[in-house]
Amino acid sequence: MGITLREIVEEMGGGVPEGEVKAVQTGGPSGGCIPASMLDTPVDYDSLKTVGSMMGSGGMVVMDTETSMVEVAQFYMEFCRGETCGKCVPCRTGTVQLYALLSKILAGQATEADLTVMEDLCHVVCETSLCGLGMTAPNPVLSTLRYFKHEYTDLLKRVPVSANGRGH
Amino acid sequence: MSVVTLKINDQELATETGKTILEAAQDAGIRIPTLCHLDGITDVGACRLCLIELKGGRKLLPACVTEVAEGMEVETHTEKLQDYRRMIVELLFSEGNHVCAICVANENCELQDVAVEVGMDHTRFRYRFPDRHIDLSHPQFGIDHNRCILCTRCVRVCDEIEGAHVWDVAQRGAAEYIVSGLSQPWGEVDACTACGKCVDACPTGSIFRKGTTTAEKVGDRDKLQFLVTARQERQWTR
Repeated sequence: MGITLREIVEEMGGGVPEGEVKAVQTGGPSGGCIPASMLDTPVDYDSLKTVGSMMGSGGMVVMDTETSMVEVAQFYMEFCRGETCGKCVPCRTGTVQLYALLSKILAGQATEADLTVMEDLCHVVCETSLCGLGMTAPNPVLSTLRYFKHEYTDLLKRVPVSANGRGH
Repeated sequence: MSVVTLKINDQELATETGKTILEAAQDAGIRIPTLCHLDGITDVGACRLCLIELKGGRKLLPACVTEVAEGMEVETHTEKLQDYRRMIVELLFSEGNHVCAICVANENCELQDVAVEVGMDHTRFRYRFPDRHIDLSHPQFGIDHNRCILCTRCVRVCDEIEGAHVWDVAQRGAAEYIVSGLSQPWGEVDACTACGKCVDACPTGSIFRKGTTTAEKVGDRDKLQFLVTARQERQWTR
C-alpha cells in the first residue's frame, strides 16, 4: 500500500518483456484503466479513485502498446452484461446497450452521435443503478474515454461531407 | 404518529413519519413518475424512474423506498433527473417488443403514459427485438412476454395480496423473464386462483384477459388498494 504502480509493474513485475506499458487496469471489471503516463500514482484507495479507477479486488492487468483500449472496455462490459442480476432497468438494459455500442464502434459502424449516446448512457447507468455492480459497470468505458478517447474517435465511421459542408 | 416537515420543490410540506417521499409527494399533488410502485404492495425500487435529488445527498434516491425525514429538501424534476428518466424509458422501449398500435393496453398503458410524461418520442438505442414467447394456456388469461417490462408487480400482488405466489422471476440480466409455477405453462399451475389481480397490476398489456383486443384492456389498479384496506377499515364495498 502506497508504493507506486511503476514500482509494482516495472521493478517487481519486470515490466513488459517486449515493448512498453500502455496502461494498467486495476480493481477488476469495475475498475478503470490508468495510462502509462500516470504510473507514478501511488497504489492506495484515494489516489486510484482520483485517477478514475479503484482498489477493488486489488487485481492488476498490465497492457502493452499492442492493446486496443476499446476492446478492453468491450471485454469488461461483456462481463458486466453477464453478471447483472436484472432487477433494475439501467443496469439490466444499460449494460446490454453499452456492449452493443462498443461492438458497433469496434465494427467501424459507429458515428459521433453513438459516442455521445454511449457517454450519456455511462453516466445514467453509474448514477441510477440500484447496486454497486451497475454503479461501477461503466468505469472501464469512462476511464478509457478519459485517457484514450482518440482510440474511439479513430474507429468512427467517416461521414461523407456534402457540398454544403455538413455531414449527412 | 409524529409530524415531519420537509420541502419538495420549494413547497413546504407536513407529513407523517414513516411515509415515503413518493407518498408525501403524491399527497401534496406532486407527481413523480414510476412503473414498479403500486399502492398496496411492497416497493422494490427497481424501475429507477422515481429517483429524486436530495439537498446535501451524494446519490440520487428512489422516492418509493426513501422515508421522509425532518428538514429534507427534495427536488423531483431537475433537468438531470428528467434527462435520466427519459433515457431509462428509452432503454425499456429498446429492451422489449412494444408495438402500441396492436397492443391490448394501447392508451391504457403506464409505460406509454410515462413515455409521454418524460417527453420520450424516440429511442436512441438499437431495438433488441428479443425472441420472447406468449403463454395462452390459462383458460381466462394470457401473458405476452414481449410486452413485459419486468416491474414484478404481478409477482408481488400474487404473493402479497392473493397469497398464491404463482409468479416469480427466472434467469437474470437480459435473459430474465416472469415465470409461472415451477416453470410450467400458466394453465397448469394449480396454485392460480384465476383472481385476475395480476391483470390489474400489470402496467402494460403483458398480462391480459383473453378476448380483449387492441386498446381494450383497462387495468383497475384501485381495486388492489381497496382489497388491501378492506379488512382494516371494514369497508367491504366501494
